[in-house]
Amino acid sequence: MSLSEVPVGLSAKVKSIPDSLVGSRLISLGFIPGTYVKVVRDAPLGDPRVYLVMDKLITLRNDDAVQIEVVLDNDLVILSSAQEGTYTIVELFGGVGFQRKMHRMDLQKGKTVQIIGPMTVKTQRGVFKLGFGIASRILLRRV
Amino acid sequence: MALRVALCGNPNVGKTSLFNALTGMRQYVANWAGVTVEVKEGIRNWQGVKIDFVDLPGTYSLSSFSMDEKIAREYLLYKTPDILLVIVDALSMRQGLYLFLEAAELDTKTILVVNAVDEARKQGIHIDRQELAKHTGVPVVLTSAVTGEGIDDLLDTILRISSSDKKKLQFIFDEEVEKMIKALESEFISRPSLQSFPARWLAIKYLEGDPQTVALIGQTQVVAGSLREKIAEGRYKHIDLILKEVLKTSGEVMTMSDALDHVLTHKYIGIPIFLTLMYMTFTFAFQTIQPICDGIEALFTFLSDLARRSIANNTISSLIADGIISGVGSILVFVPNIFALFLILGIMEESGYLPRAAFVVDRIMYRLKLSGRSFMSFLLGFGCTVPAIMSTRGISDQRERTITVLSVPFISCSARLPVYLLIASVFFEKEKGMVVFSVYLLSVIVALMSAVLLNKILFKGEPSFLVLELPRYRMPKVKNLLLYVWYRGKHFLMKAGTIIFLASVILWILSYFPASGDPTKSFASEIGRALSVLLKPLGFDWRLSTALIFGTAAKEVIVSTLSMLFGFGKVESLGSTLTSFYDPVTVLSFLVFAMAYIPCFATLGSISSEIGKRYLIISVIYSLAVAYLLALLVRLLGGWLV
Ligand SMILES: Nc1nc2c(ncn2[C@@H]2O[C@H](COP(=O)(O)OP(=O)(O)OP(=O)(O)O)[C@@H](O)[C@H]2O)c(=O)[nH]1
Ligand SMILES: [Mg+2]
Repeated sequence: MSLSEVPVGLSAKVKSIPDSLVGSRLISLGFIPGTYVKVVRDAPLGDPRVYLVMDKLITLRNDDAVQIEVVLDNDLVILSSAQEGTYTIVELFGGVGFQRKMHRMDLQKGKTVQIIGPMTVKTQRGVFKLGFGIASRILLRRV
Repeated sequence: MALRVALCGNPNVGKTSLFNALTGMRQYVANWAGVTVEVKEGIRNWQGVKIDFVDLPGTYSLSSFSMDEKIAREYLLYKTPDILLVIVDALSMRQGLYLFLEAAELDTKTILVVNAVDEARKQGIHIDRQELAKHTGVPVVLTSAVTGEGIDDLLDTILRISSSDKKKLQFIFDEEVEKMIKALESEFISRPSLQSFPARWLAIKYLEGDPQTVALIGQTQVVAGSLREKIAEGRYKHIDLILKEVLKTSGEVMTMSDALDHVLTHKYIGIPIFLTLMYMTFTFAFQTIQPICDGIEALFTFLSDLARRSIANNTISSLIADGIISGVGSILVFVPNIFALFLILGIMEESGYLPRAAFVVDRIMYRLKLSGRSFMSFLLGFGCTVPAIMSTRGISDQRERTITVLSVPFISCSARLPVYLLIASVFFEKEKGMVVFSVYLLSVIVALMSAVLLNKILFKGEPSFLVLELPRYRMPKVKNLLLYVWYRGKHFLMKAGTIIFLASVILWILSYFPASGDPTKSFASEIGRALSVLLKPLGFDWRLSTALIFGTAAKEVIVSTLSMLFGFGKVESLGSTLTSFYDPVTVLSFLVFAMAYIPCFATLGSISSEIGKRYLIISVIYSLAVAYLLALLVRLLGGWLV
């Protein structure tokens, strides 16, 4: 997955950096493969976002962050990029309205769900095909 | 021969603060990355030795991506100092040590300076100096530029290593990397054109894919940039090993920064907060401070009356009362406003809010194919256009930089404030604050639209890459703030004593003669009438035209001119005379014209030195055209509405 998809509050390990001038710039700022980057917050309108890298706060636009490949730790994965299998929900990133909407599909923190296709989730309430916007705000752990 | 000592380090680690502490100078310090954009030198005598300190722009690494970083790098490469101080921030040592490992390859005597230890201590971080010296192989000094801790120690250390032998410093990478470095190194040594550079350094930079180095060397048997990630990884692994031994943290301290950021850069309220802060700034600078201005005004009225009454010779008393006192005095009245504005700008710069404002609005700037970084330069332009233009050196994209330099002059600098305030207080007494705030807002909008327009005509580029560092919040120190306000405001006072004084005298001569005191038949009126042919469609008569001509020297002079042309023999009634001459629409369009037209001489000078002479002419024509169109628009709209 790319750094721009990591939800606010999580850390991810850098996997690769684009082979370009921008890439070199990123490396000199501390975005080095193998190091951890934490997503600290996002700006109004969601772009750019603030990252904690090498003990300092750096802002990056999503168009640039999308070029940074990262991996989440401990079998963590965002629903939008989850393969088929069984998962538990670790976190839902969104406000009250979002939580309530998810609740209706039985998507709640701690629940076990099955992914049966791209962004398609099976819960006790049924099978739901989620949009990317929603799917990218649900953090899962493989079981 | 003086000992030449250069300070290098990441942006915003306190290089300039240290430089000031070491040399007793007062260079520009602020809490955001990219403040210093040129090489500055200062001298200190220590124990009989003359030390020549050199402050450099901050740089994340020795591969340079923007103009200020390039300046630092070129200095280190082509004017290698006797001793290099690598300054690292005690609270983010990893990034700092990365630069240190790069600089170590430059083959110069090096001292590692860990700055801001006062802040580290407050956060419960202990730094083991001996351990750090042991692992890096160079002397280590812990300093605080704020409390003065460690400064003498640093000076002693400089003298000590200046007389000792140079030690070979080298960070050894793993075998695969070292083999490649060695291979390239031996190739470079045989090339005469590369003789003046440290070969190992060049080899590493080449393998990192640093564009300047690759351009210098061309292709070799190894692909440039092929070990980019390996090299960085190797260094950081090493740094983490060092820091494990050196840093002792006693528990997590919840920092103020997080809490503040939660509010100030909030998803929804971040932009409203920014606008509110700006509005508060302007009301503070224009309204809260007003009683002081009134006091000064009363003083000058009293002085010119006194001059008129006590000097018998009519011509001389008019020169003093109508020329000098009303010319210079009409501007000095606004000194408190200007100082207040600088006070707030100073707080923004010192606290660390400035780059956050840029962050908050970046999305909007992105639409305009600019970045939040140029917005920072725009904000600085509220103070004075010249430093705002200088600050564009931190913009890494050349296209964006040119556009920003050409658009920053539209932002209302403090020198334009007297014009707004004079007109607003005469014509729009009740809504004065609102009118001035609107003109400021308009100036931002014009600057942004200008950027969009220039993007369309001059360049068809993509928005540039944006990285901003958000520094930790710092409580502005009263002493620093006062110095900031004084150094910025002083410039304004000096202008009043020189350019404005001179312009006032010349203006007086031109408007007193040949009709001895009747401005309508004076030389000034001739000049104004000639120009007013062009400005007729805007509704400007010869008086306003004359004011605009003289305003090109410095925009404040517009105020002196008006007060002179209208005020002969009667300072206090400028307001009532003005209202009887012009309707509000004409005055508004004059205000807008004054805001946008030709930047002052100092600004033109810095445009030409920053991006080239060609742009000086472009800027003059461009700003005149914009001013004319805007004023015409106001006139047409106003005529239609009223
Ligand atoms: N508490 C504390 N603050 C410091 C210290 N040194 C610098 N500062 C503050 O850090 C900020 C940056 O200082 P500068 O001296 O402008 O930093 P710089 O390294 O020259 O920055 P650039 O020119 O942008 O690269 C200012 O707000 C200083 O007041 C220190 O030792 N302790
Ligand atoms: Mg500096």
